[in-house]
Amino acid sequence: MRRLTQLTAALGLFALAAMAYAGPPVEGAMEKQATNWHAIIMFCIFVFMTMGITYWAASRTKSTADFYTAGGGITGFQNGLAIAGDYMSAATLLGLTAMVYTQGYDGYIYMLAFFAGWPIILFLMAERLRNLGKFTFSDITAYRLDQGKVRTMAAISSLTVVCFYLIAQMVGAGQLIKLLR
Amino acid sequence: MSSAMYERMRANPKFQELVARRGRFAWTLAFIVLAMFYGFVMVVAFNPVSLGKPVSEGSMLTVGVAVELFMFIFFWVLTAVYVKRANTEFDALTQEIVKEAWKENQ
Repeated sequence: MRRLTQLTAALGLFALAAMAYAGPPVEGAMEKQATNWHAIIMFCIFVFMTMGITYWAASRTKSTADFYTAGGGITGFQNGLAIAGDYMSAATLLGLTAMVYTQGYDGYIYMLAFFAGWPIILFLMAERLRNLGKFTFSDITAYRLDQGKVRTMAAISSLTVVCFYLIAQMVGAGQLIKLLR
Repeated sequence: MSSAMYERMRANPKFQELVARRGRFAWTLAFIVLAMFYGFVMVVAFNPVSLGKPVSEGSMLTVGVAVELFMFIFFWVLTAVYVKRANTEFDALTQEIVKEAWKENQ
């Protein structure tokens, strides 16, 4: 355990050092506009509404099944809406639109990759998740393999991916805020 | 459920049939999706000019856009086919197997 803590600390410090090499903020031909109060107020209302819904939903969540599948009480259509919402992330709204705008057809090709991944997950993974009554991929692998090691591995890999993913999301959000102010 | 019951289910020929049929179906669909996707990417990589041609003389629609649009719709249809078959055929078979296992239990 101590070994792991040391390793994590070392990795954390190492990541910190990388900040010295971080580039300048993304520059573009962007004029500073007059403060757009409409946009800022709309933004704040949206954020507060999302927070409110989250707070309300969190108070109703009591178990793992509640958290991942709303207690199994949602219809297929509702679930479809939720998945569609998942897919309409910053990458879709900002990244893909911008990519199609600047690269044309190349951006369109890129879009297909998002879409092709989904049926594969459905065909090969969904049934297994359902059969075991588990909710995440690490739950399934932990069912058959060494629990502790599998979960550690899953945690490390997802944190690594999330870290890089978050950087892209933050740059996108930052650009959006820059336009809004 | 006890492990003896699991054992009985595994011995049930219907269970073997379910596993074989569902596995074959899922892998076939997955293979179709993968083959189409990677085939398309290969065409993009090695023969991009063929995708830039218009579908017919004087049309604004190019082959590439049409093929990709077709793939969007086709994958969507495949998903619907899978969901339909899983909800009717495979679910019914699963119910039957579970029921038989319970019956033998008594």
